[in-house]
Amino acid sequence: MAPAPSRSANRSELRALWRKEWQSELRSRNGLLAATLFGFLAVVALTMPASTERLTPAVASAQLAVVVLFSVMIAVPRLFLTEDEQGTLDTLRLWADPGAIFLAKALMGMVLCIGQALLMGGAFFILTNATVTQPLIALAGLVAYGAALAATVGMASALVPGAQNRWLIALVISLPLCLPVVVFGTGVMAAALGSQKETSGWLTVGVLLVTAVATLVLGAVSTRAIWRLR
Amino acid sequence: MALTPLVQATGLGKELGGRWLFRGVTFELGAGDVLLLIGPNGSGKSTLLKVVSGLVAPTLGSVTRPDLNRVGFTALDQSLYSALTPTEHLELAAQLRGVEPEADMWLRRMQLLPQARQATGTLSTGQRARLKLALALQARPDLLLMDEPSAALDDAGRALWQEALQEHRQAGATIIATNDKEDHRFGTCAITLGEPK
Repeated sequence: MAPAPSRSANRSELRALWRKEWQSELRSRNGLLAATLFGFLAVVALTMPASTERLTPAVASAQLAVVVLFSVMIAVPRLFLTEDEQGTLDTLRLWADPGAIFLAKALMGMVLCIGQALLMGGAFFILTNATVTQPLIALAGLVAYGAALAATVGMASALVPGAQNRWLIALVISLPLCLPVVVFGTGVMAAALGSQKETSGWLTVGVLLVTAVATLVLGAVSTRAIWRLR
Repeated sequence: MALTPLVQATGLGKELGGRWLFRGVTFELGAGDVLLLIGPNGSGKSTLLKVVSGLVAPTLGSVTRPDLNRVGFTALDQSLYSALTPTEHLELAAQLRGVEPEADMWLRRMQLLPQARQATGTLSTGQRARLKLALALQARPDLLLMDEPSAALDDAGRALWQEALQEHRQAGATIIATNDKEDHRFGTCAITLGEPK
């Protein structure tokens, strides 16, 4: 095996990669538009029953958690796999530490997903006429849930570059990893809608944030190990 | 070959899909050495370059080479970011490798100044090849890896890369995968890869 690249991520490397992700995203907008369109349509479709009958907090929180999950599944794998398919990931690997590449992409995914979670959450609460008894928990919960999902799906997507059927494999790895995150996301939304205690809501926000940070670290470490072995 | 090797490959072999692309490839190169990789299509020249660069792991053998920051790589099938401009490419690569971008100098040298702020996706194949060459040379690498470097270039472009190669070989080692007989005159040594077995 070739000796592993002897680089380590540093701040200027991360900044440069982050800027590249922003420039690419802002100029193409493909993933952002696709995920936003999906999220908007899903939220509108899910809120239709609410025009005739009021959704219980438990059902509403689960619906919102699932819509955000699928929106993240559209937005995040693209950050890794499209670049792998286009061949630019190899170019990037020649220039940068794999861990830094993962972190820049995962952080970009987090920003996109948090923005989408907030937009979708806001639209969902308005369209369903839901009574948000804990608005701060709703806000923090959407941020933490979006971040944890983005990190988890990002890590799964970073494991599969170079594989055949990489999109399918990323999905297959992501879904079981996301299951506990979705459970916590549902819980935090339920707390925001008043069907769970406030302390339980904040605790769940904390768990989601810890999950996001831990997954970022794990993703950076595993990406370093795996991308060297190709 | 070289007294102080910059790159050493020992017994390199690569198996893909149950067949050996190459086996037992051994060489060492120092400053001034230009190794030509010659062989028919599919014989593994590009893969061997990727193994030396570290992008692909060998099935057998080992490579010792300079840190990746000191390796320049350019290939016909290497992809660039279509939404970024040539200047942004040079700035990105420089920041990641910790060198000065010198974007204007490289673009002038590669005769790409008029395209400096143009999306790379709108450049011609030859212009992209010149940009890749600039990116490969930007960090003043100790080892330069080139896959079919002259394939997409016109006469002016060929003159540019030949000039760049002459300059680089004064201080660094070079490996060129090529089937262009015109390129063979630059080689100081060669490895001929055969049909996959």
